[in-house]
Amino acid sequence: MTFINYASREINCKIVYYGPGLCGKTTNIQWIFEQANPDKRGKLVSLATETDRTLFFDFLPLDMGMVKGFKVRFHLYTVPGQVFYDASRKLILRGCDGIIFVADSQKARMEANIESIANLATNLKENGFDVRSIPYVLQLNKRDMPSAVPAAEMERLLRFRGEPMIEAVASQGTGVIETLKAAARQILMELQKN
Amino acid sequence: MSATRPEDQPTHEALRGPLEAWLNQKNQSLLEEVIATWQLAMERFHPDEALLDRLRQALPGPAAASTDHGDAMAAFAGALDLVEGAPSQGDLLKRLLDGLEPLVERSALFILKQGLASLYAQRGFEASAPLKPGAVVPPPDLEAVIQGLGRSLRKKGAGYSALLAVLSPYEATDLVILPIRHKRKAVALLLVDSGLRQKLDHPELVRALVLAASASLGSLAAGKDEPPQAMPHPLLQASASHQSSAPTQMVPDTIEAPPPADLDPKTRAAAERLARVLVGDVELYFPGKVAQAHSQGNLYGLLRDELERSRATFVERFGEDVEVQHRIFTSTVVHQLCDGDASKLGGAPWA
Repeated sequence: MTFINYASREINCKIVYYGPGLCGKTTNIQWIFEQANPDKRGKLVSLATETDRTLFFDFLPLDMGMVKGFKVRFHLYTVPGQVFYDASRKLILRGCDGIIFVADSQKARMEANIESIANLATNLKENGFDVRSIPYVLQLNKRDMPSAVPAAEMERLLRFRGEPMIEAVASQGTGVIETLKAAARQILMELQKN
Repeated sequence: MSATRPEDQPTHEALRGPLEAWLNQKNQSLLEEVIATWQLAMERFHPDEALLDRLRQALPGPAAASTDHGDAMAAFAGALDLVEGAPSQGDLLKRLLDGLEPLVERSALFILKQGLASLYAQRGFEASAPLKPGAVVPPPDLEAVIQGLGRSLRKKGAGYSALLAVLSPYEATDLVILPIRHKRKAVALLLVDSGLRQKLDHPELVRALVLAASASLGSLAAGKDEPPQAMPHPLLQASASHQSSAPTQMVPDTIEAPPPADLDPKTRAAAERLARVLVGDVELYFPGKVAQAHSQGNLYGLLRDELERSRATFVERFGEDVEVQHRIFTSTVVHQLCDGDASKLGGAPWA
C-alpha cells in the first residue's frame, strides 16, 4: 500500500520483483543500483547465501523525482525464487503496490515460470490483492540465451491480462530500466486514480 | 523456512549473539517480576485450617503409599503375562498397550512402513480417530531412534510433536518414545507420555515391557508360537480373537496398503509439474553436488536438506497419501537427478 507522508511530502511505493529461481530478479535490481545516481539511491541490502543466492530478499530504495510537489520514493524488493521459500515470498508481498514478474526465457524454465505465476496469484490473494488488477509488468529476461523460447510463445504461455511485456537481458541492462518505468507508470496512475 | 543450510550458518551465527543477549535480558526481568509477585503473594498467604483438615482426611493411610511399588510390579507382571501369551504379532501389539494401561497415562503405537509411521492403536488420548490423516514423516530425532542411533527419545522435540499431532493437541511434560525391533529393524514405535501428570511414573518398566514385546515378536515371527492359520505378515493383521483388548483404532489403511487410487489427470499433471520444478530448482542451485551424485551416487547424502524441503513442499500441496501411493516426487528425483537409477539416490527414508 502506498505510504504518503504529508508532513515530509513524500510518497513511498513498494515494487516486488517476482519470478522463479535464478531468473534474474537480483540482477535487475543490481543493475538499477549501479546505474542510479548515488544521490538518488539508498543502500542495496541483500540477504543472500554464501553462493550469492537470495536467501530472504534484496531491497533498494530509489528516489524517482517529484510528482505534484511530493517526492516519490520507490522501494524495490526481490523475493527468493526457490519454490520452498514460500513463507518469505508471502511476507515480502505484504503492502506491495506493484509487481514485476521476471520470466526466464530458457525453454527448460517454462514450467517454473508458470508455477511461479500461479504461486504469485495465490500469495497475492492471501495478502488481499488481485493479480488481475494490481500494477503488473511481465519481463522476458535472458533473451540472449540460445535456448530462449520465442517471445510470441512466451506471451501465449505467460501473459494473461494485456500487461506491458518487455524483453530484457538484465545482465547487460537491456530492458531493465524500461521495465521499472512501466511498473512505476502504472503505480503512479493508480495513485492518481485514488 | 525450516532447516538451516550450511551456507547460511555464518548469517545465523552473526544474528545469534545479539538475539541471545536480548532474550537473556528479557528473561532476567521476567524472572525478577515473577519472584517479586510470588513474595508479595506469600506475605498475604494464611493457611486455612478447614482446608488443612480436609486434606489430612483425604490422605491415604500409610499402607497405601508403601504398596505403590508393589502395585506397579503386579501391573508389570500382568502386562508381561499378556504380552507373552499373545497368539499373533498383531495381537501382541494390542496387548502391549493394554498391559501398559495401569502403568502410564497415555500410550500409542505407530507401525513403521516405507520410512513412515502410521498410527495403529492408542490408549488414553482424547481423539477417537487420528487428528491428521496420513502417515508421519519421522523428523531427524525420531529417525535417529528408528535407525538405532539411540535407544529411546526422552525429550520433547520434533519427533514427539510429529507423532502427537496425530493424537492430541496437548503436550505432556514427560515422555518416552521407544522402537520395537524385529531382526534389528524398527517395525513399530511406542509413544508413552505423562498426560496431565508431571512425570512418567515407571519409564523403566515401560522399557522392559517393550524389550519383552520385541523378543516375543521375534519368537512369534519364527513360527514357534504361531497359530496354524497365521496371516502372511502378522504384524500388520488385526486379530479379532482376543476379546479383552479391542484397539482404539483398527489397522489404518497405510499398513494394509490399498491399491493406488487413480489420480485425476489434472491433479496428476499439476503434481508432476510441481515435482519437476522442485527437482529442477535443486539441479539449478546445486549443479556441483548433482554432478557428483551422477557419477558417485549418494544424492540424498549430498543434498539431504534440499531434498527433504522440496519433498515437504510437494507433500504440503498434494498430501502424503498421493506421494506414498504414486511416488511422483520420488520418481522425478530418480529420473532427473539419478539418471533413472534409484540406487544413486542413497539412503532416502522415503525412497
